[in-house]
Order: sequence, then C-alpha cells, then structure tokens
Amino acid sequence: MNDTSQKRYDVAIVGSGIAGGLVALKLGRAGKQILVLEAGDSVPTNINEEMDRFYRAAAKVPESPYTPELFKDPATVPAGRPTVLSLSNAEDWRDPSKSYLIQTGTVPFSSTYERTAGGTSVHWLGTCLRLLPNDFKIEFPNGAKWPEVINYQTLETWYHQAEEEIGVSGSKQEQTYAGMTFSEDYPMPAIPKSLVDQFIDTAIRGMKLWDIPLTVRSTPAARNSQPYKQRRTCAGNTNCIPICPIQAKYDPTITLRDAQATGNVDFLYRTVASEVVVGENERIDHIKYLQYGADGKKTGEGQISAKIFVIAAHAIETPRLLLMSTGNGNRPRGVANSSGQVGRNLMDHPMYVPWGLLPQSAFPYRGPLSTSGIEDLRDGNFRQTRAAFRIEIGNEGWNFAVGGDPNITTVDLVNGLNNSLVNPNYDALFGPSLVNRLRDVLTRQFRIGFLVEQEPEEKNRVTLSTNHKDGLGLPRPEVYYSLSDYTIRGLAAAKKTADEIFARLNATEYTRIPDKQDPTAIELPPNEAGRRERIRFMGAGHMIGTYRMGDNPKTSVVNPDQRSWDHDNLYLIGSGVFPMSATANPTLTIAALSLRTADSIMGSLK
Amino acid sequence: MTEISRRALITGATATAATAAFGSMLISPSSLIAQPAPAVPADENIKAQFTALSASLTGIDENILSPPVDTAHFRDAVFDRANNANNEPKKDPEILAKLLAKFNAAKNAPPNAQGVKTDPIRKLYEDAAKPENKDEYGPMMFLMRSIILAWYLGAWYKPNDLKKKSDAAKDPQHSYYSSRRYSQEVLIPHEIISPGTYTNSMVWRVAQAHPMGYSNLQFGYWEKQPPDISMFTKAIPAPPKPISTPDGQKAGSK
Repeated sequence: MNDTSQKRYDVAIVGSGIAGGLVALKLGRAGKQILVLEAGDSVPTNINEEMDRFYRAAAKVPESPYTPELFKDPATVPAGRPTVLSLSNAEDWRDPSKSYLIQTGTVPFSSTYERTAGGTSVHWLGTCLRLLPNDFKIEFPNGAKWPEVINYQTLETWYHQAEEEIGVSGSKQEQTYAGMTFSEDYPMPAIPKSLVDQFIDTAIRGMKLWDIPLTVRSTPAARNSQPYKQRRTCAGNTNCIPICPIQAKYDPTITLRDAQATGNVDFLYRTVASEVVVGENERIDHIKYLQYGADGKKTGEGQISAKIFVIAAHAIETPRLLLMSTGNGNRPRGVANSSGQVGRNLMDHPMYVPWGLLPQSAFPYRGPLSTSGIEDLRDGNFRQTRAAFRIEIGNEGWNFAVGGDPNITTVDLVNGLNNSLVNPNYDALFGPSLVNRLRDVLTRQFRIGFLVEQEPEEKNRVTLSTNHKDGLGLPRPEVYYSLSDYTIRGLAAAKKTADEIFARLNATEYTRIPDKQDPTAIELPPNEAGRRERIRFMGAGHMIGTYRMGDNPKTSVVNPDQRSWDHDNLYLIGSGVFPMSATANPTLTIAALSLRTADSIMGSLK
Repeated sequence: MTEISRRALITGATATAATAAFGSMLISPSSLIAQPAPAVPADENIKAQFTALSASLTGIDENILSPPVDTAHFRDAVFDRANNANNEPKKDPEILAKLLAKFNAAKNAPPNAQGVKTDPIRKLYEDAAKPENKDEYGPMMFLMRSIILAWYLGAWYKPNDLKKKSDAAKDPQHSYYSSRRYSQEVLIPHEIISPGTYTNSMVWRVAQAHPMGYSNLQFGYWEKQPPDISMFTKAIPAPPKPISTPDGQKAGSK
C-alpha cells in the first residue's frame, strides 16, 4: 500500500459500499488520487472464508458470513452494527448490551447493516428497480420533495450507466409500466421466472385491485444471466442474501477491486472516521480517524487531508459522524447541519410477509431468492391517502418468513412440535412417512413480501447516545423510529391485497398473528368488514433519509449534486439523500446518483 | 452378524465433556467444531449397522447417506456425535450400543403370522410406547430423533434438548412465533457439525432442491420441474459391469 500519510489526495471517501465504491472507481479511472476509509475489515483473500462462516452458522442471517463476529457486547466492538438476531427478540431490541443501536422509538428500526469492505450491499438481494416518474413528483406534508432537476428523465441515463456498471439482467418490456421508459435495454436478458412465479402468474391473470391489473414481472437484478465482466452466470444457489458463493450477484467488493486496479485508489481498513473538521471559509480541512487491530483494540489515530471529502456511510453512520463533528463544542449542531435536518426522516420499507402452502408443488428453495415481483401497485391515486407498495415473490419457501426453514418444519415433524403450524397432531415421524410429509410441505411452501413506502417524518431520527459508546469510545447511534398512519394504511392495503392473492392462489395461509407483546406487531385500522387485524412488520434492510436532498438549503442537507449546502467541498452520498422512500429497493438509485455525483466532483476538481 | 462391541462404541466418550460445554445457542462456537478423535476407532461393522439404522430412520437410501466416496465424512460425523451423546439424558455410556442392539433385533425378528415384517423402527416405537419399557426406551427415542436431524440438517441437536422441547410442546408459552420467537426458551440449541454436513444434508433432497448456498446446478434450472423425488432419496443402481470377452477385451471396444 502507498504511504497514505505522505500522499496528496484529491478526494477522501468515508465508506467503501456501493456509493463510495462507485465514486472511487469513476474518479480513479479519471486519474484522480483517491483514499477510501473503511471502518471494517478488508475484502477477504478468499470467499471461502466467508462461506465457511456461513455454512457453520446455526442461524443463517444476513450478517452470518461477515465480520465482526456476532453476539459480542456492542460496547466492546470497535465498529459495531445492528444484527437481525439482536433486533428481533422482544427483550433484546432495547437492550444496549445486545443491540448496537440504542432504540427509543415506538417500534424497532428493524433493518441492519454491515461495516466491512463493500458495505451493506455485500448481503443485498440484487434487486435493481428504478424509481417511477411519479416518485419524483410527490410531495409530503413535511416538505419532502426531490429537487426539480432530479426526475426520471434526467436520471434515466444515469440509471442505465449504473445498470451497465454493476451488471443488471432485466427486460425493458416487462419494466415498462407506470410511465417508465428506457433509452436502452438492460445489459443482460432477464432472469427466468421460477416455478413459484409461474404458478402465481397464472393464478392472478385478470386480477385487478384499485382498478389496476396485476402482472407478475421478472425483477431486474444485478445477477448475471450470462457471463458479464469476468464473472460467472447465476447457478441458482438460492443464497443471494447473505452471500452468493460464485459472485454471479454483483456486490461492491467487485467495484473495489476495479477501483484498486486503476492504481489511483488507496484503502485504509479498520479505520473509523471520528470527526469532520471545518477550516477556513467553511470548507472541510481534514477528517480525523481512529484505527484498531485484529483484536479490536485501538492501535492509533490520524487525520487525512484532501481537496474534496465524500461521506458514504449510509443513513445511520453518516449522520452519526456529522453529529459527532462538533469541533470541541464550537459547532453544537455538528457539520453540514445548518438546516437542522441531519439525522431526521429516517425511513425503511416496512415489510409485510405472509406465507402459506400452495395447492400443488411449485418447488421453492430453487433459483435466486427472488426472481419476480408484482409492481403495478407502486403508484396510483391512492397515494394521496395511503402508502404504496411493491410485492416481491420469494423463492426460498418459508426460510425468511418463519426465520429459518427448512429447519423449523423439519424439527417439528421429527420432534413432535408445531412451531410451523403444519403439525397440529404433534406427530414425530421417521422413515418414508417423514420423507413424504416433509416433501409435501416443503415443495408447496411460498411467501410474498410487501415493501411498503414509508412517509418521511422528522421525529424518526438518528441522534447520538449520551450514555452508550462503542469499543473505540465513540457515541453509539440512538434511533427513534415509528410508523405514521399513512404508512400503516399502506400496510393495511398490503394485508387486503395479500388476502385476495391467497384466495386466487387457493393457498392455505399459515401466517402467524403476532402476540401483542411483539414489538413489531402493528394494529391495523378496521378493514372493510369492520375488523381490526394485527400483523407483524419486518425491516427491508433499506436505510433511507437522514440527510435529505432538496432545492432549499433551509430545509435540506444536500443539493441535487449530493453536495452539502454548508460546505463546498463536502459530499454526502447514498440513500440518506432520498427525501422519501417510494417503493423501489434503493440500491440502483444510490448507484445512479453516485455516478452522477462523481461527474460533479470531477467538474469541481478541474 | 457380529456381536456389537460395546467397548468400541464407547470410545470417544471422553470427548463428551468438551461438547457438553456448548452454550451459545445460535452460532456454532468454532472452538467446539473439531471433535477429539476416539482413542480406538469404532468397528466398521458397527458403523455399517449405524448406516442401516440411519437409513431406516431417515427414509433415505444407505448409499446416499454413506456413499463409497464420502468426502464430507458425513456418516462418521453423525456416528461420532451419536456415540458421544452418551451422557444424555441419563448418563448412559452404552445408549447407542443398546439402540443398535434393539434395532438389529427388530430387524432380524421373524415375520408375523401373516408373513408381514414390521418396520424395525416402527417396532421400536411400539415397544417404547409400552409403559413397562418407558425407562429403558425413552432415552433411545430422543437419540433417534437427534440422529434423524443430524442427517436432515447437518446439525446436532442434543437428545436431552429435544426431550425438553417435546415435553413442553403443547404449552402455548413455548409457541415459537410469539414475541419471544428467538428466545432461548423457544429455540432448540443446535450446532452445525461441519460445513460438509450442511452442504450434504438430506432435507434439501426431500425438498427436491439443493442446500441454500451450495448449488451444482446450471443457470435457469429453476424454471423447470425438478427430477422425481426418488432421484433424490434412492441411490441410482450401479451401471452393469462391462461384459468381458474371453481374451479380456471389453465388449465393443476396439
């Protein structure tokens, strides 16, 4: 590695995920000198290290393959992160000895992230939906609105560049709905629909809801349908989350590799940015950092200067860093926060995931985790009164829905339990009867998932904990999170839609009604029959908001170029800039905006 | 039939203390993955009996459970766990030996008056259900469940943990999908035996699929029906031996 302390950098980037990685790559290709600071570990020399951790993990959660190891007191971890297991148990989500996030809201913020080379998209699904033209036109009561110059037409070319760069398989014919147009086709043909998709496709033909016909469409995904950029074709490992064993699914370590190959991008791993320091004329002068070793103990500290600084540490760690940057108390609001908006409007896509058995075998646990979706309800007049949603069709049976199938059902049928609800007589089976019963259940399992738009609200926010620190002594993020009535009405519409789809499929529903003590239980408003139902919501892993983009410096944190209104040489990038969540999985839009911002940075370096 | 050597079976019992320390329920502590090797290797004949028992328990063909080339050493891994489970639930070091003895006896029992042979595992279950057999058979029944789960999931569930959850099963307090769904009272602790046992585990065959994260299939296979279930659970018969001509040349070869 180059001696980073002596080198003059054009740009210093905090965070090596898809946003920071793409900016580093594009600027590195243009000959700019770039330094990337990554809080977590470097890319392992061999993916088998991560596969081994995954195979050995009894609970195979999104974090399983990656460092740091799970189940440590977050107060002892130098670069901690929330984990699925620490957030799901009623007793644990508010317990700072188990949950890295200090949660104070009415419901848990249920999405998690990684702090490792490649960022959270190391464990992403690969879904590459674009935002819809109308998503850029909507305005929320709290003033959330995309800037005028950011709209479908102006982003279209950037979407295409992003699809080329990360490698997206899709069908523009199938994605031409709700006003979307395509100047060019996807770089690879669409991923074939699974048997589960095909079954649902046939069953819902002719179905209309809110006067909108429903269609099963192949989901555009950063997953190779043919060899692409020296990576293999998808072999259907059914493991996109948490890890594709053959890297047929794009993950940002691929971009980091390409960035490093330019010879112009250096990396510092296990390097946690601790303060952004403002100099003359409100320009950022340097960033302070702390470093730690393999044992997690602090090994040193330093600072890095550059012409331009980019913070790409997503919707929780980015505001945390900005809020920590108080200049010894001279800037009580932190950096880039004249609007007071830093940390506010935290969003996700609250997910409703119903599950059941199809009337015939459709053979889940085969193919990528999801290959199709029903996207027609992402937009409509109903958005004036309630949130929209998209519907993802799962290929992984009840694995995600019940938290670990086929194990749960198998243990039930062998040990005479009924946690899955498929064994009401508490049978304990063996031999051919076990094979037959288990086969009958597993091959008919399916789930769908509703990713519901979340209304931005200022009270949902990231602040700094005053009591709890991480292993390096830095304050941990404190999160207040809740769901608005608008969002909950969207969840209610999702429940209604699920009921109608299940009826069409002639499926037997097994979705559990959560008990009242479940922190993720939501009481829905009365349905058409006047009944109030309780459902459970899950996190989609989509951290959105907290440093929103806008046209007005008084009400937004960054301008349309993702540049801080307050500091000329500071860019804050990623889905934190989204003024609203809409219904697309955020990664493709993060990538498109990052490539666009790289151009803007290039312009200001000239 | 060689008589079971109980001495051979109980070797490896000293490894039990190490595995009993398994505490954290959800992630396999790497320090406990490696099982200390038994001082004396178990007799191959006993292992063959164990394979037969396993085939009856799982409904999966013996040659799939224990193929001639077993790179994952799956059979040996399950055998070792079963053999080392002997301190549970009643600290009986010979429990696997007793189970094999009962299984062999049931297997070799003559057919009934109608000429029908009872499935040996069913016979064990029926015998276990008799009140007078409760103490003798009880621990074996849960060891059988551990063995089935080890083959199906590549993971070791201790017999005693299975017994505790089974006893509590009908108590709604222990309902899995409550707000305590990830709590220790609800989930059964288990440990993936090795990466190889996970990637060869049988449940995926029963689903006519492949282990999540381990596919040897080709792009697009998921849009078509899988082969019949028998292709997953029954061993494919070995190809007929080439017919040799008197001079030693294979038929048809030139």
